[in-house]
Amino acid sequence: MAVEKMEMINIIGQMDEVDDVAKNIILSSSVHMMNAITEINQNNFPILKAQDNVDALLDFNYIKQYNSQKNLQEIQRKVEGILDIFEIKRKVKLKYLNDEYDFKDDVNEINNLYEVVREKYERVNRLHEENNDIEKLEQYLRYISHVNINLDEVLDMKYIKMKFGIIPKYNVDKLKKNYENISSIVFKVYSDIDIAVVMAFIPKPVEIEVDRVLMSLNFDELKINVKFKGTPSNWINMLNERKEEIKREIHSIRSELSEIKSKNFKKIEMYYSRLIMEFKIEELKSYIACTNEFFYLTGWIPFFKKRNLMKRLEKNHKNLIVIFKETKDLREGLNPPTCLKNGYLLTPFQSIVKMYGIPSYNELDPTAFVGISYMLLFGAMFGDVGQGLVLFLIGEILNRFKRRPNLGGVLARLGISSTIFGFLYGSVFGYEDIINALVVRPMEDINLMLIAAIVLGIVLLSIGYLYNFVNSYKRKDVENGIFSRNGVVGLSFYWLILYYIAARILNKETFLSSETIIVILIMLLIIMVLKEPLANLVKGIRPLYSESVADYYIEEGFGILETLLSLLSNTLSFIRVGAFAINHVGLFIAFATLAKMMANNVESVATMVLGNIIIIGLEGLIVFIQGLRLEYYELFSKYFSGTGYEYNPCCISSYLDNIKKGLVSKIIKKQNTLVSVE
Amino acid sequence: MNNVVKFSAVNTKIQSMSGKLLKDEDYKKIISLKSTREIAAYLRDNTFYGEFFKDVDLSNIHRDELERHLKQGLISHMDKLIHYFNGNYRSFFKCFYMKYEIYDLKKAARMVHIDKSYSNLRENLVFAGKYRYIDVEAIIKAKSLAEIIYALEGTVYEPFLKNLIDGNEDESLFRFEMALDRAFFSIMEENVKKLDKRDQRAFFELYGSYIDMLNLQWIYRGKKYYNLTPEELFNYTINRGLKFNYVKIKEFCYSRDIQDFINKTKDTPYSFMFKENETQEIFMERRMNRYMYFKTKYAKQRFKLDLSVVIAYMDLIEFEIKDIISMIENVRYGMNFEETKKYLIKAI
Repeated sequence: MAVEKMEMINIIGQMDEVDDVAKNIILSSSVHMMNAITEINQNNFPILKAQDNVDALLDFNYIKQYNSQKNLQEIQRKVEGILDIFEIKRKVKLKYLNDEYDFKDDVNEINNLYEVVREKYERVNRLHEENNDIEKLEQYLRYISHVNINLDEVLDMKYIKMKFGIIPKYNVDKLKKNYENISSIVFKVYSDIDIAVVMAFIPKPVEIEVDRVLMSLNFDELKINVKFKGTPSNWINMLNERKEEIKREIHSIRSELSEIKSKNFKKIEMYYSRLIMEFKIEELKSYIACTNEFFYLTGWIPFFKKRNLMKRLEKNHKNLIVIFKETKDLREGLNPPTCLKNGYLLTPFQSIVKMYGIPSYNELDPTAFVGISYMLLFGAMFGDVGQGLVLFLIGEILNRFKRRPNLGGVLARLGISSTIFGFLYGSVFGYEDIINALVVRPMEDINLMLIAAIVLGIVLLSIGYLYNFVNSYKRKDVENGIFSRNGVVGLSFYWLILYYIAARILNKETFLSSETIIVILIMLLIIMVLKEPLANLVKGIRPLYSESVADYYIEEGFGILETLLSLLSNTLSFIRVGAFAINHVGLFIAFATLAKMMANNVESVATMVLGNIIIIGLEGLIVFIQGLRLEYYELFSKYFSGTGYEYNPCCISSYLDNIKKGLVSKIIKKQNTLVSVE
Repeated sequence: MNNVVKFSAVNTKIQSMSGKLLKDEDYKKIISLKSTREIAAYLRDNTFYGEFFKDVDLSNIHRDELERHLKQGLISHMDKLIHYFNGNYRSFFKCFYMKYEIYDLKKAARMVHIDKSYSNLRENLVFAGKYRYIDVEAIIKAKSLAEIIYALEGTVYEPFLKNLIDGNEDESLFRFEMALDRAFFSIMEENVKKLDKRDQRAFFELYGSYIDMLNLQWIYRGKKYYNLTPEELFNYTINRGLKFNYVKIKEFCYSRDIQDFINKTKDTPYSFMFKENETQEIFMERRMNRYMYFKTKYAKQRFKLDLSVVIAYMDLIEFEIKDIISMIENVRYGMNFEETKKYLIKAI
């Protein structure tokens, strides 16, 4: 449960092996890539220590960014084409990638298969087109189907040409206004808001002129490619016959295609997987630097994945130089990515932390605290055995069937917590007469609920302070860790003032006289005001103030006011935990009352079911949000900076996620631009 | 929503932004400079345009590049103002943006059609594809006007352009431009219809004249250089002009010859377009712009609480950028102050 230890990995190898090495790295899905050129320029690449291979050093001066020369578009188009024709789902299967293979052989096979399929496929497309044309013509003919003349005769007139077509509505006006000057008969057969369908009868001698005029009206002519005899309705019948024919032909070609498909299904899947791998390799290679003979690769790897990767590389490649570097040896300002690792119970809560920010590498991972406290808060606010189980089920469904592991996981865990609190409160779907309360019924002891909520808040806030101490210690941040209002001084002030208030309310003797306590409190406040100069004194940094002295004190003066206010508000904010627990019961009472007012049992049962749905949906959402607010605002602001960036290894599965998000096109576009630049 | 609520904020913003427009002084100084580089340096150090190329190495900056940075300024204005609107007004504004997109398309068309230069198309598409989806990549690859039109398939422009493809090559650029203008105004018209009556009026009061002038210019050129038939001329004209209804337009289209047409325009407010001397052609565009300049300037000064101020302001910025570009050109051709003045939209 923490931020994983990271090491920097540097690999030097020979150019002819680069694809294989890249493939192995991707399959191990363990390296977060960095741009090698940047690292080399920063003198961070430990090339000089690699004395055992002097060759690698030889042309080090000619090092440059790797520039892809591979053109995968062509083959990608073909594979995509095949997938479309056969309607095969795009799925990457690792089993096709693990064995040795040469993609060039696959390319040839793909080309062959594509040639076989293409002809048939194009025939299908042409038939579809013809079908569309026919349907369009049919639609036009329907407008004039009541006319009882032979259409073929009209089309074959010697001196008059007939044309069918569409004119956009805004041009119909133009036509109308200038109709007297146009030497043809234009007849509107149909119109809606956007377009008008017209028939134009044009005398042959002026056909060219009228054509130009029509063209300037954006006249979209329907080309009639077929010829039948008879009236428009006869035509329609013939067209329908032709449509049937087309359908039959398409069907027969499709069955031929599906035969090829069943023969080649496995292979096509394999081509696709390997193609995606090629793309991935290209993506990885865009990070590396190279000379004519050697490539240089650099990235981050979590400690626990190191052995796996080494095994893979050692098995296949003898000539690689692999150098690991621990973070403490690295240059200033180079922060490793953060790889969070938590147990089964807490993993989904990482998403809640990430929503706020990624912890930086040398910060405590707050996931554990967030997970446990969030479950506590949610359960306390929404304690119900039945409703909790419903939430758990919804969560599991989301998790398993809808592939929303984060939301589903969080919901399921919150549901469990809610169920447990349900037993404590003795509530099942709102009914409090089914089981006994193990601890308390919220509605019966409101004061206890509210006070307990505040006590819980105080405990959580104090833990928040502790997190800040640790984080500050790791950063060696004296100012924030000791003197600030989130530091040791702040915590002492907080507890002392709570103790003083509690003693006063309960009328107990304080262990120090109240004057002394007040003096100590004021002293602590003054220390908080002086935090920057004090911290600088301790660390021996001069000047004491980073800004002008007057500004500093004005700011800190108001800071005191804010400190006092926020202490109060942060603590009282937790009252909502108790309040929502009561509210939860209250909402149920409202529905129970409604149910009683119903005439018969069916209606009251319906009301109760509806009530429970509303409570789970509406109140569940509200409590979810309120819990989030307590986490983010009251707690995170105390100790969490979230300035890190995420560990994102180069691997196939993340590529699949990207496909879902449609990022593939982006990557391809990027390659397009690369190609065009070349 | 009340117009006071709708426009008081944006108009105030415009008022403050107008403070940054170039003054007569700036114009005079720019004209007195000797090279593109000097002008760029002056703009960078003394005007708000500087923020768009403050990190650019000016030592051998080219006119095209500077032009691009200036246009970036126009976009940034647009971006600032668009936040003041919502609903129909926002979509109107986004539509207004088409105007600049159309400039880009026209420029691309010219480069492809006349100059046959394909290499730096991308740099010249400053506006395209920002608010409305245009496939810039496809346009860049176009080698002819027809290919540009194919690239625009599926966009709002398509219905206006598709019939130009098989038209004859010589006139197609001319028609392409007019078709785009018409696309702009008919799409605008659709959007304007959704605004308040008052704002509709404000829009047509300003742009009505522009429509009138575009129509006149179209008819004039169509008659003089391309011998189009009156029907065709009429069909390409734009609706909703300020001064002319369709009867009048038709009369223009069906005038016997150029002279007849010019005579007919004599008693309109736009007679200045046809001065019947050798400057008529060169300055026609500038004269139209200057007419619009005064009109927009007046609209902005009147400061009514309607759409007029925003539109006027956008136009003023546009004119200013056009002026700067002309000044750069004039400096390069070594024209003197008096000569340069003639080519500017702003009267100094």
